[in-house]
Amino acid sequence: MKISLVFTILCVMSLSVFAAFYTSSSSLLLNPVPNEAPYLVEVSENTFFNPFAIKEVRFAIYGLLSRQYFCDNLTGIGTITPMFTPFEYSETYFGEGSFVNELGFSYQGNEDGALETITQALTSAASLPELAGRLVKLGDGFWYFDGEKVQIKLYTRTEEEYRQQMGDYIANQLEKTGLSVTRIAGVFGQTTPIVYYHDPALLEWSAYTEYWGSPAPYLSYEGRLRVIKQMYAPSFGNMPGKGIPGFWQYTNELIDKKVNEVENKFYFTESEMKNLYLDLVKSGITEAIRIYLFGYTR
Amino acid sequence: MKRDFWLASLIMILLLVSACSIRVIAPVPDRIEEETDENGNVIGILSTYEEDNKKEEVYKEKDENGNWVEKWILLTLFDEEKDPIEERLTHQGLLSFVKRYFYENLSSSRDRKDVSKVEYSSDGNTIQHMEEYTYDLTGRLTRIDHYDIVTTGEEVYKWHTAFTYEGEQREPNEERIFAEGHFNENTGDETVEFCTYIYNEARLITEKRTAGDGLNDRVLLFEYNDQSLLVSEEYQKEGQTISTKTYLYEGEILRSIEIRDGTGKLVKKRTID
Repeated sequence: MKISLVFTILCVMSLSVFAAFYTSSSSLLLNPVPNEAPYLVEVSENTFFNPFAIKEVRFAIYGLLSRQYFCDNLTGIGTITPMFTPFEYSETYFGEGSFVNELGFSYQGNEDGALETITQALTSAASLPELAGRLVKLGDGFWYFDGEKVQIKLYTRTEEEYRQQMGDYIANQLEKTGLSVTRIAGVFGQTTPIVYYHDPALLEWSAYTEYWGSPAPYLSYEGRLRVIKQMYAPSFGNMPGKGIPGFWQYTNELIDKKVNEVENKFYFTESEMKNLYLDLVKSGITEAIRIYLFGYTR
Repeated sequence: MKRDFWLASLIMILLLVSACSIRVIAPVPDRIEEETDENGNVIGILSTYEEDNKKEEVYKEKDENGNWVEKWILLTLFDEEKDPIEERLTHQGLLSFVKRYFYENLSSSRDRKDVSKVEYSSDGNTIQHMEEYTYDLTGRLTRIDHYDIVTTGEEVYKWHTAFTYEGEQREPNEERIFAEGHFNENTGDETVEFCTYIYNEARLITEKRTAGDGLNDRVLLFEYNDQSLLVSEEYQKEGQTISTKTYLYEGEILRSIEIRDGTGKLVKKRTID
């Protein structure tokens, strides 16, 4: 059982390389509060309509944003790889690609289809009794709620040029939906506390451009499930609300249940585990709380 | 009366023949496994159909309306030596991947074939991922080269997994301690896991211990009966039992598997017909 000294030293040396290189990815986090109809949020006695509380609107963002645009236009970073799932390495490895095909995703995106879906979803919301006559699209092309433009507060980062370019592109695309976009740019220390550590129900933010470093290629189901849990499962504490007591929480019992089943090996066969994994990938994508955009090396 | 009986029989036979011909009558599974939750409610049914070189597993579960629906199908094809040559997974009616295995006799010291290559495809035609396997002279897996074929362009990402062993375990039943490292050759990304496999005299694995890669220590403990049949599989993390699977047999025939959580509470049970 004793590992020889040389063996240990060799392996520790290998581990020390760990921090020297990095592969990164970027995602767009959406604030879904209250995540149910009629999509209204009370803040300081004022009522706001949150379009990202509508799942169809969130999901349409996949098509609204062109991954090809990021690949072709962002400057100051290395190789950019388009992403729809949290895995920079082969999104088709364990069958994830079948969802990408089924859902009609493409690297170019589908701007027209996304805009149509968002318009339909907002029009449908406008017919809800609680929103009838209050949520309207006016001649200027913008959606209004109780006489005020429906606002999206997009938090972006400014540390490097490509982050600003990315923020500008996302803001421009979102504005095409008829939602008014307020751009709030800042460095990590300015944006992160508000997005991650303020109650989402305060509606201080609607969307945030996130960046992740991933030191490992996710070659095993176990590794990939760890990422799925971190990026999609509320129980991990990395989704809106972050499990902080007193905050509004994004919840998803099905994702949490399946993550628990996989993590604790509450399955009979490897086949069952593989299918649980695919369930989780699909749920994470279609919930569209965290939308993956691209991976990159620097 | 007698003529009516023969007429009715003839009609029945004709109906059966026509039902079979239009596949109204489904083939009978070779094995049915019924899955129940902690309260004994049936939550899933796994049907297995086996032929000489083919195995099909069909898992059904109840949808929101209480109807049984096909959740996934795993079709495995085997060669004449019963080694898998193709796996085809269909998840919720959608082909998820086709995995093809290729074999060669790569370790000269052994009279056996080894997996030399595995290809992954999401449609059965276009290869999106490929793995090439390398072994040392004692037959131990030493390296897997991964080729990740990015379909949008000419780029092919490549990384490899290296298995570094401590000592020279020449027999497959000896304790194996090794490091499993993943190396991305484009970026230099690297992670290492430390693994220990322990075997019993019957060359069956009794303990699999893994640590590293940012994960906690994970241990799988396996127990066997006198006939070398697996009777329990315990999963531990950081020294705590997380779950245990218990296998129950009638003679040598597996009849049920129970999964219990760390407190011993039944989570799921699968009964095999």
